[in-house]
Amino acid sequence: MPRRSFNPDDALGGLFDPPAAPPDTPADPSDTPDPLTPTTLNTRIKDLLESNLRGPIELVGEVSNLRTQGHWYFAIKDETSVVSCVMWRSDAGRVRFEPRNGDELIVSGRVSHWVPGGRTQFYVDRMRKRGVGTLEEQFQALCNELRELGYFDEERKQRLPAFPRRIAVVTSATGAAVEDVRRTVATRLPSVELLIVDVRVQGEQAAEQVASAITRLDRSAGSLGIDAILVTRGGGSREDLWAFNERVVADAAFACRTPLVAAIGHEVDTSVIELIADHRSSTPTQAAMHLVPDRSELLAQVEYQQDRLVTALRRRAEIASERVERAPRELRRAIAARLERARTRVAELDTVLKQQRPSARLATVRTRLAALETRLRATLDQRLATASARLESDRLRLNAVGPRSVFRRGFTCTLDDAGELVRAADAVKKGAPLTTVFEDGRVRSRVEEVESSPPLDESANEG
Amino acid sequence: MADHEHQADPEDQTLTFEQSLASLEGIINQIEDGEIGLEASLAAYQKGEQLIRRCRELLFQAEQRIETIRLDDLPSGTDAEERS
Repeated sequence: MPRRSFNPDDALGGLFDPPAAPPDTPADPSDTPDPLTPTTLNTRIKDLLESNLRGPIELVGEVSNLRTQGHWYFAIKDETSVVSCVMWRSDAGRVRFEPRNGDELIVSGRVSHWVPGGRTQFYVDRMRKRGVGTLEEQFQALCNELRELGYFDEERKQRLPAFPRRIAVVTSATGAAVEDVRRTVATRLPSVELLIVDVRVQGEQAAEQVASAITRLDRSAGSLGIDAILVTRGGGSREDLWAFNERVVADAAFACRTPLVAAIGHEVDTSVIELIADHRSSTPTQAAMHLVPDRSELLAQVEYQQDRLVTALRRRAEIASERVERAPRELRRAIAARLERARTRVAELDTVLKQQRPSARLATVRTRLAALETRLRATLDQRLATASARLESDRLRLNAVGPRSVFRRGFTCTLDDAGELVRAADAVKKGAPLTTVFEDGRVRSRVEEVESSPPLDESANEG
Repeated sequence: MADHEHQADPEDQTLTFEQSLASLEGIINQIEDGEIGLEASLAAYQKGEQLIRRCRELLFQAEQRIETIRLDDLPSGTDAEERS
């Protein structure tokens, strides 16, 4: 807030000093008047006011721009006009409530003209509350409506670019805000480009211009190379900042798809656009600081990555060289391990092989063979013995029944000329040669006669 | 190391600070993770150094570029309309 060149003591003096006699009042009105000095003119205005607007006067309106340190300075306004007010500390001390911006008050006092400052002021000696003022009501009503519509939803807020290349600044090109932004960007990171869009930031057409700038920038953000939009203005009274509470601005901000930052007035001031913007800063400088990264921070990031890069490569090289150094040892170890494995395998195979050796196998076979031989021999011997015994008994039996002993008892047998045994009389014919076998020899003869006779009985055969 | 899309050409003058830094981080990760061989690591390191130079260049660009325009000088159409 730019400090106003207002000195209450001067004003006080101006107010209570008796009106000086105008030294240069022309004696004759028809004469060409001498030019007035500021002091003269202001003194005349003061006199006119004090004689025509005699107090006490009651004034009703909304408080704004209230400063309550020491003497109170504030304004009482309605929608179209504003009156500067001052209330001396002694009077202010008697006020039994804490007035706030937006309160609607009825103040009483007198009007005067402050000669050194050339300003008409209302000197308040008493005040009382009269509910909430209309601007505040309007603001609250709009906030409620927009909140319902989701204009303030945190979820729809976008992230700001980490490293913007070009930022559009919607503000007055002649205001203090633009200089604050420029200086802050120059200090932090001059490579960030600024596109300043000169708009009215208060009064007539301000809201429309701000809204239009936001909309146009957003639509052409790509071709303009814009990464973010900053809408800002410096401090001012509530009515000075009112453009940023207008619905048209709210709609433009809500529709804006480019990251939007708003910084309107001071910390204590809240405007609708700030509630909608993706980020809100308390002052133009704060906004620029928030949007533009600090070179030293980025440099620290780069340096950190540089360290990492160097370390990574060194580590990589170390790993490689460690491997080279380890290689012979690892090679020896690998060979030794391999040898050891081979040895184990050889030993295993040796055992297997020994078991499979021809001599060993031969011995085994021989053992089995010997066993088989023994068994075979035993079996053969046994069977031979059995056979011998049977043979002997058969021989004895054969001797007992054999033909020799029969012949010895007087029997013979007759053979035909083919040597076949003749078993019946009708098997031979008359004249056929026959051989009769005896025990001691043979008799050849011829058949003289064949006579059939009944077979001999057993007893007759034996004899 | 063929298919690393985040690898930008460090000679590219349109490369932004963010792109350069992201590309640099990609290179460092590759070297750290041992994804690439020693020789490829050396090549990556050189590329990393170029990217660091690019970052510094962007940070130390001294001149401030400020353009002031009136509201009426702003294009009123959309990007899409202007392209067509």
